[in-house]
Amino acid sequence: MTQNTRTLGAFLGILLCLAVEAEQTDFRIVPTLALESAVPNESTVRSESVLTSESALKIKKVQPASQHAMHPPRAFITNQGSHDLSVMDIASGKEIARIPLPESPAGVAVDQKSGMVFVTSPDGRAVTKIDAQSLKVIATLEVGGGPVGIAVDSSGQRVYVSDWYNNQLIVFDAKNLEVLRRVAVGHVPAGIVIAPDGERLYLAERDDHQVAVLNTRSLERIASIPVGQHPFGLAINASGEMLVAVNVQTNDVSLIDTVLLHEKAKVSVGISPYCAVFSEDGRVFVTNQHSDSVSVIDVASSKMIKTIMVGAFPEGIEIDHGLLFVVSWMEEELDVIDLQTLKIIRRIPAGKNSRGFGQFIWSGIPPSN
Amino acid sequence: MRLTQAIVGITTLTLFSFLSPLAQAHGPTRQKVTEEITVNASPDAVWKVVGDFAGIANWHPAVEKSEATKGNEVGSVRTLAIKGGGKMVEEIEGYDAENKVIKIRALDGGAVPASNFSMMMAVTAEGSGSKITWRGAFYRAYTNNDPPPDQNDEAAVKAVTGVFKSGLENLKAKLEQK
Repeated sequence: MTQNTRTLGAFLGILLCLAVEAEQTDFRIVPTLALESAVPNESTVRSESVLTSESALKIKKVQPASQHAMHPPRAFITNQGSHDLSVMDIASGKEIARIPLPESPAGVAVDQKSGMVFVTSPDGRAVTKIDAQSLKVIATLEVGGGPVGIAVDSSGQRVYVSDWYNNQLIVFDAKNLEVLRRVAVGHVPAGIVIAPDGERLYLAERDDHQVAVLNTRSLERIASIPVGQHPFGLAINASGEMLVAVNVQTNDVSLIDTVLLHEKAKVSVGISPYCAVFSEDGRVFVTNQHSDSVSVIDVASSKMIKTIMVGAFPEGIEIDHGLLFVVSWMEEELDVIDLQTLKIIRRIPAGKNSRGFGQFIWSGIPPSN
Repeated sequence: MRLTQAIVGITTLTLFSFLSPLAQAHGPTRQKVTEEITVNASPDAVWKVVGDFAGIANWHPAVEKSEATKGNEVGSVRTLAIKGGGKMVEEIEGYDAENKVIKIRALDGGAVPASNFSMMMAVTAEGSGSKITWRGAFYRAYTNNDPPPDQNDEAAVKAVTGVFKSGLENLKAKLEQK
């Protein structure tokens, strides 16, 4: 395999400027936490949430200036229609930079420790590595096929990408994006998650209606778990004992016991569900593309307990610092939802056809003391 | 003239309908089209027409005949006979009469070179009249890399835009008829 790593020198100057500006912006906004009004799109019909001052205080509380004075959390949203990455400062609710990428970026993964962001571009047939702090593009590698799903292991050493067209799992060295292995997998591989202990990889094999369980060291298959029709997004809980597969065509999710390696329950959600995330308190949040909503599931009872209306065609979903983040493809925005009240407290405009498929929040650098 | 061209376009596309069996598989880049038109009629009057799922043949210039299985209920399926041949089959995915929103999924997109095609129509108040929004989300017909020109993203966007535009223009003309 030809390795075609290259730095995008042409963008370097621009990105450096953006990075400097971002740093300055951080200094200005963190103490004040200026709150912009959400800008609802008039052409859309959906339930609106009001941006209250209590919400603002809540953001302030979960993001104290002392904790994130230098590098507060950021969102990295892939914009498939404008071929770039929106970088958003969570505290201020503002986009602070836009990074050009190979054609149609979709998947995203963040290594929290090293602060490196990895992005797939299915039409550009490439994978890109970006520094979350400096916002510099570190490397771009053309891999061919249709790279879609992406995940990075918790040690930050390996990156895994699903190739939608060639039915492969591609394993990269996270350092320089060198291709280490190409492994044949099932039909139309999509979402990938790595177990918290790094031992296993779970892959949605969409057209085989199953989840593949692979050993990350040998890359051998441990099991294939049948789920609903067309599983796409996957999520795993903090202990690694519960996995969720989102079944697009059967409008349900499969809750999978990873110890017994079988489906424990199927839970009906909205129409054309796509991605999911676990909260620490035992809930699963699922985006429903055609229902413009997020379903909230109680894992213990395997029941749907609530529905939150969000921007139309919600896709990527993540949780960080007591906030739920949902990317709306149709409205081209990041919806920020308070995990306790389940109300939208901000709508941050993104680029064209925003997706955020994967893990798109960088929690920032923890206090060093 | 533009209307005629759109109809001719749609009719021509029916020739290629065998290429688009509304495959459930699709490429990874979804496209969207949003078309809007303002109408000098009250939202209630406009919704009476837009919200009538079976009645699309009354206003869309490319539709010869249309009938639905369960009226305006969620799950109701309508079959459209397209002028010049071909058909489309669509299902109600969501119906909100209070907010005047209907969501539809194409079960068989017929001549339109798109796959996984869903759409919504909404009626809102605009000045003393109404605004109709017609929005579609879909993938191109060709589900692999390197699509031929008649099945690529641009072809899908062009076809859907033609269907929406010609429909809205005719709908406006009908609603504003005295």
